[in-house]
Amino acid sequence: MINEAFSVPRRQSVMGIALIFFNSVYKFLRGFWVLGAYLILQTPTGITLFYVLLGIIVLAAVALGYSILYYRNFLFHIDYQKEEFVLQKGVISTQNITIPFDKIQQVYFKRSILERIINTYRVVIDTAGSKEDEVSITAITKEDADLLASILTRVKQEKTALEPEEKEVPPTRLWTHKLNVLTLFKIGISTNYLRGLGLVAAFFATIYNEFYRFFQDDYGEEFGEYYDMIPSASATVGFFIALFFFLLFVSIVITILEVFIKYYGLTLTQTSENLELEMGLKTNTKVALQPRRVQLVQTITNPVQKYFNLYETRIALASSEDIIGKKKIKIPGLGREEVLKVKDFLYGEQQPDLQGKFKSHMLILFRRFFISLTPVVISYLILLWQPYLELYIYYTLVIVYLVIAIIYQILKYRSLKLVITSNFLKKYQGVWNKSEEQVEIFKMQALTVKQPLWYKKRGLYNLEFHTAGGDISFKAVNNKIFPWLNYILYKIESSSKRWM
Amino acid sequence: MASLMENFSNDPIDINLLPKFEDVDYTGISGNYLIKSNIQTGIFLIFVLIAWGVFWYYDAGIQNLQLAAGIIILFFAFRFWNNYKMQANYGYALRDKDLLYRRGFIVNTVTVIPFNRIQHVSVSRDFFDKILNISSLQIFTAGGGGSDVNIPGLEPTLAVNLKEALSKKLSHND
Repeated sequence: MINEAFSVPRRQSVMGIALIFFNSVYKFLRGFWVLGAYLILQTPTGITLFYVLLGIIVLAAVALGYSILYYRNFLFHIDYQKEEFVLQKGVISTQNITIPFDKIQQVYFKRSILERIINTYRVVIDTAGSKEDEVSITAITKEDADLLASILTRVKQEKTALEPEEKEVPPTRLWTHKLNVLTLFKIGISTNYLRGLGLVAAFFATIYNEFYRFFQDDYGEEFGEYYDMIPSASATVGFFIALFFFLLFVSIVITILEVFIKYYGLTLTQTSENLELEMGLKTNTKVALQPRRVQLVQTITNPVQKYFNLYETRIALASSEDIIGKKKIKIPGLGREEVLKVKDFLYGEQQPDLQGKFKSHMLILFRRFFISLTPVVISYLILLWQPYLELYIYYTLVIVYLVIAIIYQILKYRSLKLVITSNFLKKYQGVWNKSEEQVEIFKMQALTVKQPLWYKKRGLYNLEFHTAGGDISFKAVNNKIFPWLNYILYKIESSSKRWM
Repeated sequence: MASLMENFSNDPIDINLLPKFEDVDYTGISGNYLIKSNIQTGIFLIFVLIAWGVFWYYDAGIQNLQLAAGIIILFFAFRFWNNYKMQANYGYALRDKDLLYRRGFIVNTVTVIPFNRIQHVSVSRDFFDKILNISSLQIFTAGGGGSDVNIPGLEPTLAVNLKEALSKKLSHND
């Protein structure tokens, strides 16, 4: 190592004191702005004014003392031997943070207005964790910031360069899949309309609101006359049925339009390196999917779409540019063959040799029954308080609801399944929309096993499999799964492959 | 996928012979952490009592006050008891290739973090930690909130040593 700058613990620039001071004062003012507003509105008398001033002076002194201490305690350095960046900070609570070189995702500058004014820089070190985990070194001079950033970027590259990089092969096109207009139309009519219905409802609510506000003053009376003209109950039912079909029709149209806008011209091309995806009418999205970055793959279909041979694939990526978990790519309208091709590309050959299948305990089914009962109980209590329905109608509705709810819950329970093979973990669920989530075992980040007190007697556990693209959870399984969890840990720990 | 195949071997594995995470012995945390949790619950109790006192001063009705007092007593009895129970369940264990952290009484939770998935490690001490001479160790992964752990109530030197040890493992494993 030629350049050993920052190897000795050092502080921020002295201007840092000012930055911390103003920041803490600002935070305080934001908390107590009400007080300020009060003082302005209510011209204080001499004695209150004195106390207020005294308070402000004391506060300023405390803030200044805090800032100086914070500055004194803020120490950072680079440990070249251990290959890590070390930061210590804090006055009342102290923190000691270590970031190994090879975990650094990126290093960048950030400046607030205040930082521009006092001419200091903030260097942010990003790791693959969530947003709160990033580490920033505030208030350092431009030279230091540049130097620090360049050193960190360099050591990070040196560290990662050691790892075998995949060879650059000129990309050759292997296959292309295009969505035609007919398929888009099929996707549109077989997608969940609830979203479309929601959009319509929101639209009409807004219109109604505006309309109402506009007419309220001038035409209120006239409006009331029309309201009186609305005919008897039977006609109202007819009207609502007509309205329902109209809304359904509009929802379908809107859903189809949305599908067209989002996915028009969807093209999936596989080269030897990447899967390239292009789609969208209004904004053209273009993504290259590298197998290494793929964390979680979900395939969803429903009976209608299955009939049309349409599967939606959702892929969660980890990438250093985006915060992990945020980036999920939806590819609708792939046929079964395309889904298999995509998976083959992402995962290589899948060998189903080792297999463990797990189901949740019946307990969760019973719990779901009880949860389904809640609306019944609530509506019954309301009925007791305010009889809004004839009892026999109410009972019929309750029975119909319960039959549907129980059948639905049973189907939902039966669809729930966890499968562990030698390289994959798969979770199946869904009654109408059937989903299959799949993650490569070695890409998992951690496992969590939870046991609530009320599971102890039955020896049941809730599991969470953490990946960089989100968690997969599975509830109420017994300890027969433990050898498989050990297998998963073995897979993660014995793997030296890069997971992103 | 040449690189995939290079690393790929397919020897039969008896999954029942793999090291068992469920049989690991955990090391407990410092008893001072129980003091800290009780102090924190105590401070909360004081605030609640002050609020109750205010209502009492303004004569909020004897029945309401009694009911509130009952709820407060039950709630805080539970909190202190829970602190005590939780203390017994805090524990961590280091294996050759991963770290296990156990916590929780009502929901007993074990998180296993393989060393080669740790992003970074930090040690922090708040005001009470300084008085009671304990530290906590934070371990961050890319799995997000669910898999990040915070082990409280460690002796300060132990926390630093653990941090150093983990950092060393991180660079070795990659």
